[in-house]
Amino acid sequence: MDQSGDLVLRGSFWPLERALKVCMSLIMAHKDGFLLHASGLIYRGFGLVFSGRSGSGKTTITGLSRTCPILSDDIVAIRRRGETFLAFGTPFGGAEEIVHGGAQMKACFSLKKGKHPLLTALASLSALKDLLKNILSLPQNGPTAGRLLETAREFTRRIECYVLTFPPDPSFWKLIEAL
Amino acid sequence: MSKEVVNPIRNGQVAWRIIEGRALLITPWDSMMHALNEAATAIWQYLDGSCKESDIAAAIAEQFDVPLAEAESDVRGFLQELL
Repeated sequence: MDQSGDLVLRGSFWPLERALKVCMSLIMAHKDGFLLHASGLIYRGFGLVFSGRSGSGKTTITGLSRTCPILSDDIVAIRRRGETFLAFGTPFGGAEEIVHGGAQMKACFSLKKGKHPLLTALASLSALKDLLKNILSLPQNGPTAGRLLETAREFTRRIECYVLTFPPDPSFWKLIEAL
Repeated sequence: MSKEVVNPIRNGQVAWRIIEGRALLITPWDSMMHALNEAATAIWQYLDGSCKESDIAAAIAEQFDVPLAEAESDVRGFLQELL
């Protein structure tokens, strides 16, 4: 415990981190939310989430978005609140400075590396399939899985979902600014 | 040859929704997501315990305008995959 009261872990953190992710995923599923393999930013007061598995470019996106507060560069917590969804940072990932608290979500981008920036809107089914692929630890319990599926379905109904093809430079921001 | 599955019924543990005419399933035992095609979605919706396998095949043959034998084979194959 450091002077600020934060618990600081040193050494091998992986097994504990793994256990925390599973526990948090389960808790989130019961609270109309989920953990998503994604980086998250706050842009003009709204949360933008960039989802994808390892190697998809999540950390690259945060690195190319220096002026935006970062929620996470690896795992974002998403939770429904009323008619909308909020994105929260998590302690998982390598970003040095993350914002505490959440932001009302504006859009979710599924990452795809490419030579030229391109934004493609996803229809409901594609958006949901894509989202489920990137949710951590789908529940091993029928009712919980059902609740998660309903939450994910609502997410794709209420939040704009896109595939973002991007080269390793900030040119993709022009597409996002135009939304 | 495998026996007819009498009044097949979906596993209640499977979470599913129909979206844009396609069934999306989560099977909790392996934490996997499955997206069914149009024909499998139609069969899936009949698996409420009220229909015999042969009734489902007849309905699928009519719905998709395919020969009954083909529908029977598809339904049998799908049900065997689910077992």
